[in-house]
Amino acid sequence: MANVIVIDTEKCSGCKMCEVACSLINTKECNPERSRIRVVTSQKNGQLQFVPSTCMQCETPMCELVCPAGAIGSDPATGAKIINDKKCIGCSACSYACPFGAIYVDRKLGRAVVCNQCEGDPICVKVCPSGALQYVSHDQVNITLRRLGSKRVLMARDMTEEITEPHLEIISENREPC
Amino acid sequence: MAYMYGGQLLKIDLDSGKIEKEPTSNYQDLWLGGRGFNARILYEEIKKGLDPLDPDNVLMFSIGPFTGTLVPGAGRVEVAAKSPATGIQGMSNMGGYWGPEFKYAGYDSLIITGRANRPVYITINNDRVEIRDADGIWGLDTYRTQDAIRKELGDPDAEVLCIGPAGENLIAYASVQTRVGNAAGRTGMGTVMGSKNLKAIAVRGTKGVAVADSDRFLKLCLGALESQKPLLGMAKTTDLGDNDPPSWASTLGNYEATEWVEQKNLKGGHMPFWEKHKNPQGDGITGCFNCQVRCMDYYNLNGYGPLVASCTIYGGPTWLLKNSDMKTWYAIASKCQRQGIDTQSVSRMIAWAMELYEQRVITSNDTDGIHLTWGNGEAILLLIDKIVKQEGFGKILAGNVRDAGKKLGKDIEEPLNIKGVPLGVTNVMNFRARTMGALINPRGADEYRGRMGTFDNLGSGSGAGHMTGMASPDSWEGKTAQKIADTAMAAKKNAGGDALIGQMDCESRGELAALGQKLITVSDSLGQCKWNTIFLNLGVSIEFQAKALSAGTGKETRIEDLLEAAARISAQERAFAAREGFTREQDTLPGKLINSQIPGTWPEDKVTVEDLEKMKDDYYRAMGWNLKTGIPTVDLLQSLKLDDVASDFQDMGISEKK
Repeated sequence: MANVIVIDTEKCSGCKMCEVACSLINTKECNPERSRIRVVTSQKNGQLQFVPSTCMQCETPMCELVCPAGAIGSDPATGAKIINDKKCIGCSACSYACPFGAIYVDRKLGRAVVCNQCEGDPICVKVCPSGALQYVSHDQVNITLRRLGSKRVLMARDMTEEITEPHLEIISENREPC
Repeated sequence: MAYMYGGQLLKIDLDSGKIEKEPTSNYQDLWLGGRGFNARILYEEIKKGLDPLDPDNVLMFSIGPFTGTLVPGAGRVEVAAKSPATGIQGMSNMGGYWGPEFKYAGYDSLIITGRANRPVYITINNDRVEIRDADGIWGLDTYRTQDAIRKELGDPDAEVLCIGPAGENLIAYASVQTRVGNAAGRTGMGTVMGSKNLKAIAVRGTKGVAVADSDRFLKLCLGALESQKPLLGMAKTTDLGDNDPPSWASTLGNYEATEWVEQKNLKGGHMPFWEKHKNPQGDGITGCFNCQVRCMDYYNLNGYGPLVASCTIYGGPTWLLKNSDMKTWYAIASKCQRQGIDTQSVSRMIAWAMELYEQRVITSNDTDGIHLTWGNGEAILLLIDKIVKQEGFGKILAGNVRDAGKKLGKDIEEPLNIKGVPLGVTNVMNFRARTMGALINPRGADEYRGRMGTFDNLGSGSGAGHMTGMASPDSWEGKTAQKIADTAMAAKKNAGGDALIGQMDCESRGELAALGQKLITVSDSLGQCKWNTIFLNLGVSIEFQAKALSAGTGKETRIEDLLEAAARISAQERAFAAREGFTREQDTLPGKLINSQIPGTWPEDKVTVEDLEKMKDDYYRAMGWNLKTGIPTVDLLQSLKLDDVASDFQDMGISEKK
């Protein structure tokens, strides 16, 4: 049974510190492209959206099931996926199968890599300044997700109220017209 | 391998379309990066007397060795060119995500010359560099421009720097913008970009930054991040005080604002407004690459679109224009960011016009019928539109600050400015550290490049003689500053005077400003945000910077090495100015601020011309510059390995031995 990095996307402010720290500890260079957690960013007309994405520790790991080389297993202590370097052929079958695209072939190494949870102390969680990442043991995952869900419901209610507010003019009272 | 550096300087000539690359190693040992590269390369490439809007002006975007790494606040880009505002080297520093992406593409400086014969934008994708047609993008605001380019490239991860319509129309204080609310606003860098017909620069990189001793580097960065945590509240400046623009105005000691606050007795404002209109993403807070300070508020006001606001953008549209309505503030700030205007400059220009209007020096006949009464939001927004279009009265305010009075055809004092850049939103006269910082800032405008932030505030009253509560006394900066103050106090005592030096006294100011200027130059050159350092009491000291650079590059660098590089960079910037005929006379402040009583809550005193000149003497002496001319001496230039500059000075007849 696995520990999970639970993501609260609304808290993420997109700073990429998780990516920089992850790549530094795992590849000895600062390179978001090689980070095992990525912040998927979208921008439209000033509206920014950030969705951090990493291994979600599926109970039925598709990556493991589709791997033609039988290279993927799990760390018994944390449940994090372990990839056998000698067996992996770098075919990307795991990336196609993963619902999140979280496992991928590192083109510099020529083999697949995925979050290894830094041996039970994930550096992304440690550095995240906004509280968007939590490292949660298997028996706490569901209640954590429910808390996040209920927060979204409350926020949606707030936003509904916001939309019904009448549009206010910027012109203040008691001004001479231009 | 080029540890910590992208490894190449990218040169693009928009006249010929020629694209060249040069190894960074030719510059990195003497000039560090960022501001250092800009200072040196602009001096080499620009001829004396060049019109800043001539195609031969050189526009540079440089990053430092820290950019794109795990160093706290490693997202900065230093922009430079000969400034249309000052006539000397213009410089402005911006955050966001463009700098790290540029590093990952394998570069350290982008050097742009020439002028395209039609609107273009540049795309950089690792080794592939192209100049593309911007016909469909020219005219779009800065948010839409970024969207359009990402769409055209089919790459949602491309980071884009761009100008808005204000830069295209060459208004004097156009900004370069990236993302939402990250701007290089001061000294008209967007104007220079517009003059080159260059709309935007998109970049995407996947190469990463190699680190020599990654274990040591990681440990240092994690330690620095940890040490910042208890202090983060210091830098989220928008949460200080009573959480409203009037009380920040009073905290910053802005003399115009304190008067206004007293008149209006305003309270409340920002915090309830933010709580009500914050953007759900990031809980309404955002920041730059690899930064945990996250100093910006992120709004989404119904009907107005999103807005990211750092502390300085609150000041201009509120206290300078005596506007107390937050929605009006929002509309002005948002317009400035979309149109690509420096908010502080435009607010200062409009405030000047409003003051003249209220004093009936000008009337609605001069202003195209706009009633420029204090705080008139509708009038301000209308006027900004006219400024962007260079239309009617807007054209007068869109030009150089020094010509504005003349253009009105009346004997009117020019808008408040330092070295030709409209004065920022802080009161630079309310204690001597600020005064001194503003006086010697090489780009003019404000005090931010000439002081140490928390480390030059000597206390007042019984606390005089010691750094104020904000400073970390055990840091290298704190100890060094205190030693300078102690030496000055001992000298004062020997001379039979009152031994204590407080924040309103002139002694030791010059020497402290010289130290502050060097420390800021180090951060600007390494590519680290000042807001993440001791400048704002945020843990990260020059001790960390030296260690992190050593671990990252694999070459031991000491604090003294960084300070020597900073002295070289400052001398180089000054040499550019000296070549344009700049002397100590130009290190001055608006006449209106000298020798005048400042109303408001801060100590009501005044700074005399004699005070200023004495502080300048101390500053030049500490920098190793000639006292008479204020330019670097031959002895200094030679010791800094700037023999070519020394020989240029000789040819120009401005050479001074000591």
